[in-house]
Amino acid sequence: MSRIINIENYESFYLDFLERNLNENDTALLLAFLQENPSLKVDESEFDYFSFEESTQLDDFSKSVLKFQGFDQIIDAENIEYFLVASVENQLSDKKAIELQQFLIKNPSFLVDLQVYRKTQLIADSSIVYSEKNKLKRGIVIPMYARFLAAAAGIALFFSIINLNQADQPKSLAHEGGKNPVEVKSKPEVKNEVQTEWIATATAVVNDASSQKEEQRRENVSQNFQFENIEPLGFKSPQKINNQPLLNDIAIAYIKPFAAEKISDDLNESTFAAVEMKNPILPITNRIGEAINQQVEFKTSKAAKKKPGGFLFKIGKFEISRKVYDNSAVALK
Amino acid sequence: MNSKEYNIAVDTYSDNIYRFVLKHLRNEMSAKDIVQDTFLKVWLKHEEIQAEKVKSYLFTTAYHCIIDWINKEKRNVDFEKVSENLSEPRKLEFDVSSILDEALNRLPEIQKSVVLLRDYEGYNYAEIAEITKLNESQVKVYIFRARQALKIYLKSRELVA
Repeated sequence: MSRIINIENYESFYLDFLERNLNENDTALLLAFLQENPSLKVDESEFDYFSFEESTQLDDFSKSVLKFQGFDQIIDAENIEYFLVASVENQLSDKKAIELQQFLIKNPSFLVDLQVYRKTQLIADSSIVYSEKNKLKRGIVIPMYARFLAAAAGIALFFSIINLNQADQPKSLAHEGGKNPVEVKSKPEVKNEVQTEWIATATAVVNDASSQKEEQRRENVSQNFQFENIEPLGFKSPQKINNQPLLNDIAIAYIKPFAAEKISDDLNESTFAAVEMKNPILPITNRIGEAINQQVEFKTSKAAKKKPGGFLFKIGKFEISRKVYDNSAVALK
Repeated sequence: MNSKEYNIAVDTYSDNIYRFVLKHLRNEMSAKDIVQDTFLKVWLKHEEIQAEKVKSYLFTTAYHCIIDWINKEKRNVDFEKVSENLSEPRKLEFDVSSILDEALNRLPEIQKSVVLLRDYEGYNYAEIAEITKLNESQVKVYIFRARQALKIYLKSRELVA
């Protein structure tokens, strides 16, 4: 065959060359082609099996494969190998499979070849398993925006704790100084004419342990302030608030000195109603939740007057929150 | 593909990849290294890979790792051992699968790959062509030639009447 050798057809030339079946002209062409494309050259030692006893049969077979025109041709002794392999490979149409069957009935000597071809089909040994799967697995990757969110939540928690400590400070100072426990000096928004009656404090509840402490402290505060005296004003005292089921891990900040004249406008049930919390970044938290396969929530409530707003940040079972009651000022005469 | 889908792929395909590589290399340590390397490469691109195409991607990567490994090692001691065994007087062996293994190990790597992908994984010619970067007709020729070689080897071992 004297044709042009290119990347598309060089393999057929190469196979003939390796089988010592290529004429001189084509051999020269092939060698020139391989010189120009050294990466296509194959190590001849990879063709060991050509030294098998029946290697002469392979030449015929190779030719039949390379020159095979398709399944339309009639099955005969020359191309039978191709049809046998095609049968094993399930490449034959029903018509051709029947034709092959008829051929094998007439030529039973090829039945052995068909049986051997069937045995060449490899079966994977399922007992061989890769024992180090866990080393290959990867942990959950937290996206960068989720990390920023977590950092922001951490910072918010930090400042909320600082704020709460500051809120606690006047009370303790008052106790230490032996003064009236309800009197607070640092109250810039309260005018001189406003008479401070009593103050409750803000608390933050982060976990169960601090929740118990908070409960204890609240009881102390309520005893000190003698809430029974303020019952007639018609709103719920802290004890009653305490009796209500508290939201999980909610911080409460309420009751600051206030002008007695303004009290009547503000004293009602809604004063102590929980502030509605909204998630301002719902798509982001949803996406993080999907990514880490955990429930993720981030909610905030509006700040009330000069008090900071509350927030709730939750990943799975881990939850941090701070909640503020709206219009958190109550004062009594 | 997210990390969850990647981990599912590890559970689903790591055994198959390991068998495929081990059949080529016949060296457990190297096979494990290549499996690890394969999955690492896939992980590095996991965001670009669609979960439903990960199997093909894994086999393609593993195949190229095998080729790289063979190019580095060339014909190592294992192959020499096979040649030595062949020079020994023939024994009557009736374990077809072990003889078939022997025959498989004597095939050129590309033929071994296409036959393994065909028989172990049930890939069609087009899929094998995609993995091995061959065209479909080349795959066909390689498979047919591999089958022929395996048949000759089995017959030469007198395993079949």
